[in-house]
Amino acid sequence: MISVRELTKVYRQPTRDVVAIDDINLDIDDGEIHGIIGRSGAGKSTLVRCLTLLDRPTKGQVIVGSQDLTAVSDTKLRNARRRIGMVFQHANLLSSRTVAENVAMPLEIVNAKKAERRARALELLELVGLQGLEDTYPAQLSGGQRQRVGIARALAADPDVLLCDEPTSALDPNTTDDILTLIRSVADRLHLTVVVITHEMLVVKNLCDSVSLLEAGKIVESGKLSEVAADVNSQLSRSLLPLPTHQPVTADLVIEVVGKADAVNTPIGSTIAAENPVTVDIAAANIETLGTTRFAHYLLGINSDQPINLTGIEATLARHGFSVRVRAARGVQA
Amino acid sequence: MNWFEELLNNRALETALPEAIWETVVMVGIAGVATVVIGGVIGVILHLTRPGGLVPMRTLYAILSSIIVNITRSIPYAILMVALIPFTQWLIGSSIGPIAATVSLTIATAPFFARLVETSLREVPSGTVDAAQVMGMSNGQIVTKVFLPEALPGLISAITNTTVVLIGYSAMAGLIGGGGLGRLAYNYGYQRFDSQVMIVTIIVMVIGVQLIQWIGDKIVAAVDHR
Ligand SMILES: Nc1ncnc2c1ncn2[C@@H]1O[C@H](COP(=O)(O)OP(=O)(O)O)[C@@H](O)[C@H]1O
Ligand SMILES: [Mg+2]
Repeated sequence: MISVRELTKVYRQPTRDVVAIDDINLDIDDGEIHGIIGRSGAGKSTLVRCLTLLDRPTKGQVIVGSQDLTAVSDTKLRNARRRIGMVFQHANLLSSRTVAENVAMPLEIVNAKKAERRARALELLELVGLQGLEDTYPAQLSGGQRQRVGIARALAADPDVLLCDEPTSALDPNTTDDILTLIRSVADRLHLTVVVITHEMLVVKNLCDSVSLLEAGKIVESGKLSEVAADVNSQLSRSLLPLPTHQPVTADLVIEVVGKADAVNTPIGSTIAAENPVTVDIAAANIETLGTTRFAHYLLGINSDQPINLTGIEATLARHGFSVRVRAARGVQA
Repeated sequence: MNWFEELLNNRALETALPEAIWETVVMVGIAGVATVVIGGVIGVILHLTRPGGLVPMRTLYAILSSIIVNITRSIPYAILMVALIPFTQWLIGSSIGPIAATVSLTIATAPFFARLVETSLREVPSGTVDAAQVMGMSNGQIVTKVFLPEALPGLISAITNTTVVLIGYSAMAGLIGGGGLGRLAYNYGYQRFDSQVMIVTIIVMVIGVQLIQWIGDKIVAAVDHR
């Protein structure tokens, strides 16, 4: 549905050039909810602005459906944009219009009749749970309600794609959950392809099917949530499945392992000890469900009275579906 | 009591005052509408073409800006109105009367109003423009559906302020043939030492300005939903 090819954005400044987006490639399937996570300054805002052509990319293509947005005329671009609904961090509603008039705005552009616009607005307001508030002004609403209006407005023109730029960053935790649930449900119901930009791992965990990690303008990790989380060596896995706070571990061998689905039920300590002459301590553990998949993340301290055969342990773990990361290996065979 | 009786019997007030008020209303009315239209368009162009605006055009912005700064800051209205006499003569065939005065009044206040418009438009959050663009709005639609309605309270205040400034300028324009309350005060108050006319003129001016301010504030309160 969405393909990004070699997307680059350079901000030219008098003293130096800032490469905000650096050769990004990305493919998002029909009906997928894709999260793009990165810390402040990573280039998230620049990326969304380039995806909608609010900023012209310096180089590269943004293909939505089958149309390359970077290659079309201004008029065609305006039409193509109508296939994209966008939700903003601060909703960006017009204060001079009522809630219903805000929601109906995208329909005004295509010259829909007034009665028709009103009917569609009411329908959408019901979808986002704001029935009865159609004739109030945005200033009278809470942040969460305003974001719901923003979502209704984004859906007004029946888009195929929903772009969300930090949709919950200005909201409290409870409201965040409500808004994420709402986005999930409208995406499923209307079969939308969704891109969510965020700096909060919680949003990725609760909403996304797949995720990309943006760092200094580059995508450094990307994949299905269930796959990146299962790889203990990925940065995303570490923040998706964080370990609880724990004592420093001193052992001959300290490893972290992550397993998913059936692997979660494996008794990790006895399984390793059954095939290797070692004792295993579980120093910290996190069992969590992401989407519909269960994950287990363990920090293990392994000791033995003889040099440890790391390869053997790794083989055992691989056979049971665990990925392994070695943190410290003092007592390991050379 | 004597003074008050005299006031009621003052012929000048009976005939000249209504006429003067009417002339002032004509001057301020015509110049006001022209100012709002011309200054409004310039204000919108300024906002759109400024660096970082919707359609940045460095040269046009610089030229408009400098014309405005010069008319509003460097040239006092008293000098501008005299300097514009030949132009007015050429444009409408006369340089006397309230209609003629509207030419210099408009040229003096339109830039002032344009600046106020630009300032009001700048207060429209850029996020609302992003939202409009992503919806597929054209620049023209963004002006009429986003910028102007969102800035409406500020624009109404700008019209109120500009009208008050116009009333002041119109009194000055009265002195060189524009007529109106300025002329009345000058003829009777200054040349004939008729203090009654002077005082009544001042009262009419104060009431007029208060009324305009009050109406303006009411409209702002009605359209402001922020
Ligand atoms: N208009 C701009 N001009 C110059 N540099 C910019 C501009 N916008 C963003 N940048 C730079 O690009 C980088 C990425 O910024 P941004 O996309 O805002 O990151 P994020 O949204 O992830 O915090 C930063 O280094 C920022 O300073
Ligand atoms: Mg940002």
